[in-house]
Amino acid sequence: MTLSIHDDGLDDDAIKARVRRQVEAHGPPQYEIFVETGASLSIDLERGSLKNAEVGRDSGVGIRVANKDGQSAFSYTSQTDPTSIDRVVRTVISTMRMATPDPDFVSFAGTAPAKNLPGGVVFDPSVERLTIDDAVQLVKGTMESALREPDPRVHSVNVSFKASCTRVSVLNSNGIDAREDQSDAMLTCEVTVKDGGEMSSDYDFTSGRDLGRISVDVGGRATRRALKTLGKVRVKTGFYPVVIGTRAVGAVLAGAIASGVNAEVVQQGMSFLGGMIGKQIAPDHFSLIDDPRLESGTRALSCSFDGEGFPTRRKSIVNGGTLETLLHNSYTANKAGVESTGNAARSGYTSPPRISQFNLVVQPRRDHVDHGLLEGIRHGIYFDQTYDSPNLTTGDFSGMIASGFLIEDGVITSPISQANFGVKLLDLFNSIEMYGDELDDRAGIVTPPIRLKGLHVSGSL
Amino acid sequence: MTTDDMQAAVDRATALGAGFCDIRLDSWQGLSLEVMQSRTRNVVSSLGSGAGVRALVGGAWGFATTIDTSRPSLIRCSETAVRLARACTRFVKEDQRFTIPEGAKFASGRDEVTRDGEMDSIAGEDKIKFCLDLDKSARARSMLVKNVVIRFSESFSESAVVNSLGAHIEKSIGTVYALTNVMVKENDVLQSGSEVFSHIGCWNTADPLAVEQTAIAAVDQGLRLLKAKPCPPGAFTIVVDNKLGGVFVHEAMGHACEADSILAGQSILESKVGNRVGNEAVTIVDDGSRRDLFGYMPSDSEGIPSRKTILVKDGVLAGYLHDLETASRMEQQPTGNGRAEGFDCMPQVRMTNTYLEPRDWKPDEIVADTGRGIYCRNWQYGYVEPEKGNFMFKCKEAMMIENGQQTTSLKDVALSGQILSVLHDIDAIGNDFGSSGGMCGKGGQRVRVSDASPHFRIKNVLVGGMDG
Repeated sequence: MTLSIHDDGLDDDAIKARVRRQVEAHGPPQYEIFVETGASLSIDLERGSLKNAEVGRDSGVGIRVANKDGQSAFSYTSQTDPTSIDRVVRTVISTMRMATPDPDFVSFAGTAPAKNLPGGVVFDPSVERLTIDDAVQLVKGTMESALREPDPRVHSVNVSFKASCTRVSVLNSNGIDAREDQSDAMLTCEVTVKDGGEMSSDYDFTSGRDLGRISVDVGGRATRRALKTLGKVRVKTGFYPVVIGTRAVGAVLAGAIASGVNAEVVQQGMSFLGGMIGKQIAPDHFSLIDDPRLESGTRALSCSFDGEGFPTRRKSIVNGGTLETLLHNSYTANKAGVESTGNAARSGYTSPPRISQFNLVVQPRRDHVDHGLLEGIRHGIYFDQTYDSPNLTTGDFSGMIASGFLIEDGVITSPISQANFGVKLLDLFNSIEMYGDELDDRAGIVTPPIRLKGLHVSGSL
Repeated sequence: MTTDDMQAAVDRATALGAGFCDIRLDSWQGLSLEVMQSRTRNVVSSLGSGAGVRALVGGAWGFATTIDTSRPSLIRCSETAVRLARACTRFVKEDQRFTIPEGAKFASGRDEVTRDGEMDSIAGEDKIKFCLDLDKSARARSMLVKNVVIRFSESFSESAVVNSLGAHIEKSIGTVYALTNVMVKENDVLQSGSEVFSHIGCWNTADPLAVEQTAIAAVDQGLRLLKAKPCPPGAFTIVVDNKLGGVFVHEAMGHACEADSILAGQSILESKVGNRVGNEAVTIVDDGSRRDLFGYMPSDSEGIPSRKTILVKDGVLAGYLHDLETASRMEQQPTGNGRAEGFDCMPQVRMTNTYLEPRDWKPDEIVADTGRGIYCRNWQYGYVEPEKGNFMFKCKEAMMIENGQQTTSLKDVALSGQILSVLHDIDAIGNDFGSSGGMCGKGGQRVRVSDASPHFRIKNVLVGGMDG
């Protein structure tokens, strides 16, 4: 009962070989076979009591085919026995014949010089050897950490741990034949606190490709975070100097830019960043890198090849404030007449490749990094968290500051209650002033906190 | 696979000491496609099956899943589930131990909402042609339409549940979901409009004209937004339409009534049953048995029949939504709200069709009675933090109300509020009723739901607009 993906009897080479024989027998000139096999373990602790433990195994095959007219289709199945494979091949070919011709379709991903990341970067064998008892110790340790400094205001502590191992392999008719084992682990602690009639909550998590990144100290951090959210004050509607905390940078800045340079969205004419390549979209001290080949840190989204088996590479999305590239898969790259950037992304064997970023790294110019990021802010807001997402077509972004704090005379003071924001993203990018000197590395975003000249905030005072 | 194999797996778990065990087996087929720039993209057909076994030992669950549905594999799954539960049992606190008592009323027999073969009764080519025609209809609506993206999906699933309390349930259901997203452009101003069609049953029972109406509505919405101005920030009286009103009820009240968040100490509504939480005109209901709404299901993922559950009655919190576990732990009856996205997920407490009961105002009268406010229509998305008591949602379009008249069109209006106060601020509820179907996410699982309401008015809602 471990997360082994090596002894579960599933032979991805045999599956690929059978699909390939069947497809070639039916004659579509182009095919792509994606095989995934995985095992996962998760465990939840609720208010100090173990609640449930789960293990799951999943595997399947996704097949794309296309003909010379650009008719294409995708089919998948979780059943990898020969009869099911033969059936899904027949299905995908008949489905392809229903599709419209597409003159923009040229080819699935071509081959490029490829080298897998060094062993250990994306796969940690110790995740594969995890047992349920190891997981129990992790969640118990996290709870103990959360309750180490007893505080009567702590109302509930909930902890969850999840780990998974996945083997991904891609083979296509252009000669791509890629395979990689990947592991992930994530430990999350949510703490709810109460003081009189006020109830609040916060969480923290630790995650990465290897168990070495997982620390039960996340419990204590979650408790400290949650306690800081008590005593909320209302703010007045107005224009405030703002520091974007590292938990919010993904939503309001890095992720918003990466979503806006998704070539599929741009080619549909539905991105506010369409037509902005080569143009200045942010101050010259701001750079943003998409780096799937990060070998240090959590490496949350590091991988050697993308969802089409095309080698990944590091690239500047924004360099010195100038927008440098769109993110492409093979379809959008062929349509634009450029090389794929290796950003095809799948959510498993059940999805055809779309486009997504990998690890996003915010790179400030050194002369704009300042330890005293909050200094000089007499009355501002620390924007800690939002769950909103921008309107990519217009570049407008309005939403709720789900967690935020007042900054008074250069110091973070009270948490704020109920505040909304609204901004044009290009204005927000251009209002970046400087960066903190501490990097946070979580969930595929590596960034310092970022100070903006200001943001319109609707308060309830 | 037969239910005999499932029963054998359940028997194995109980023989190993499980106090309760259930097994869920799902199989499905699906077709989805996109039309972009008047061409098909990502035409996807799918086929799959799998099973999940859940065993309860001394108040802890073990859950194991497999895509191999042979009898030996199901039995192995049962053994794993019991072993997992046992690994947790010794760390279950005494006051959190529970078992599933006998006496819960499970559904029985086979419920065929959709029959096997219905999905194939209309050829895939015809569905593709329909989507391409839909694209043409949307484009023909206005010269300002620059792009249309259509996402169509149809699925048919069969599900069986067998448990150690003797329940044997089988059901089959089809669904259709179609999203039309249009981009319109005038004088360098870009806007988008989108509208959704959702349907219980396969395509053979859906109304193509109703889908076409959603595509036209998406274009019209985009055209209106071309003229929209940024919304001023601040606190406003708002009037919401059926679709936004439904999402409001879902986010502002529904999630906080899910009993799993109550037990986890993560809902602001803990210990508030019997308390006044809103104006006495407010009655909020969840009803998975409404066949006309997208959250319909004959029974939930644990085999409990769907039913109507009153959450707020005349402004007073009346109860919570339950699955088997929360009902057992809180000594209540399960309400048929234990839902899992698929065989590989544990059921969670989830809403189905959630709505505010209509009252007596005519919708036009509500607007006419509003001196200054914002009329908010339709939704982009919403979310809630039940543990903090905050919720927020974004509407697709809005109109300023001045002296009872709709005046300026507004865009990107974000609304937020607090669960414990907002229902008190509802002061006019319409006599109409309308719904919208969609997908709701929680704990990594997505399930289909519908939210519905009459038009209604809320005072003092915080609006985050773009206009500083």
